[in-house]
Amino acid sequence: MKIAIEELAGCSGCTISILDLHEALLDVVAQADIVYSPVIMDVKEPPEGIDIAFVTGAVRNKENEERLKQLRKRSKTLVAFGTCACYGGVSGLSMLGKPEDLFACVYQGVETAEKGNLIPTDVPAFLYRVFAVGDLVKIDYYIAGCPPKEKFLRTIIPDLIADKKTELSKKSVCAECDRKMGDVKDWHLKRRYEGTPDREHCLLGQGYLCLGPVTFGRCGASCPHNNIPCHGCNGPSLDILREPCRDIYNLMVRRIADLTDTPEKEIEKQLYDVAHTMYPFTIGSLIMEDKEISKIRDLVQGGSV
Amino acid sequence: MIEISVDAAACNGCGLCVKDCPMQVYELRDEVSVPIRPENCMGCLSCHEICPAQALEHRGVYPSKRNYIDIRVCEMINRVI
Repeated sequence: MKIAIEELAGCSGCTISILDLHEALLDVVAQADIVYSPVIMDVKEPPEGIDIAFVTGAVRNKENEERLKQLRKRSKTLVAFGTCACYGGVSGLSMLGKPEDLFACVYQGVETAEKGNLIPTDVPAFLYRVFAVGDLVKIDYYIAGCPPKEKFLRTIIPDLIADKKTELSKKSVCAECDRKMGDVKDWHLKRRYEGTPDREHCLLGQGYLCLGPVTFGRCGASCPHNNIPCHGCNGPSLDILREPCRDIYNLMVRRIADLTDTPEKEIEKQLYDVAHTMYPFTIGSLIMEDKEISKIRDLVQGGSV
Repeated sequence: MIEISVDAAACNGCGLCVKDCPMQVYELRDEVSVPIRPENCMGCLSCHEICPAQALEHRGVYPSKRNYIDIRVCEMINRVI
């Protein structure tokens, strides 16, 4: 059994999450060889005849696209591993502006950049948009998470190797959160720096924009557990993914409206910077963008190319 | 008869199902939703849709038709592990 882990436009945190298996990793390598992974070993090209290939990161430039297609040809099972691979991840936010502005900022605009810096032209060119890997090639399995948490990988990876069906909860972050609702009074949207949230009660009910109800779980609600509102890094909940009339933005607005007995229009007035607050991890996904009610198309208009 | 089950561990007691149900099936007890009148349920699945924690399951409801099925999306959902 040969395993490969490929890196595209991502932070390599997903590969580290596999290393986070710690002693369970010994059981994995007893059954399978890791033959290719740029982060943890010095192999330049994926070999032929890979059994399971994990692809992490989104597709942002031509090199990413080529590598993804090559890996698809050389592997029997291709797994989209992590939120970037499944939904485009934070790379998608690069579509909000023009690539020229982006390069100018990164190479010349930031404080640490030297004045005379040139923007390199000998690097792989940007594609016209960001893609989740499933938008470009056939994917056999999706494992969402930013990164997928080690606790669940302990079940998922051995099951994948043994070709066994994995039975794990596929509910939302709220299902894993142990906060109670409490009373909702004088609701108004709060930024994260405003006050300290009460640890017992629902963050959304307190006015913090917590994306728990619309986000796929499998993180043990670790952010709400540490008094930080969920920002949706696991991608959309499966209910949202499935239903054409549901989207992260409209469902959040509806939830807040239901909780507070305020008209949806009033809630929408309070929301700010929708791209970064609602879609930071899914803006690059064609599946999410193609929903008729999605706001993504309006947000990326005028950007890209 | 529709069988309703509530995953008490998942339920966060927000009460949206209590408020939303047109047939007053649910009641909050100790901050957990309890289907006290399941025989009244008309299977609209509105509560299922509104629950932030996806804690409600209905058995014996057969939505006979779906207006819209996106094969690409269904394929992706089947492959999420």
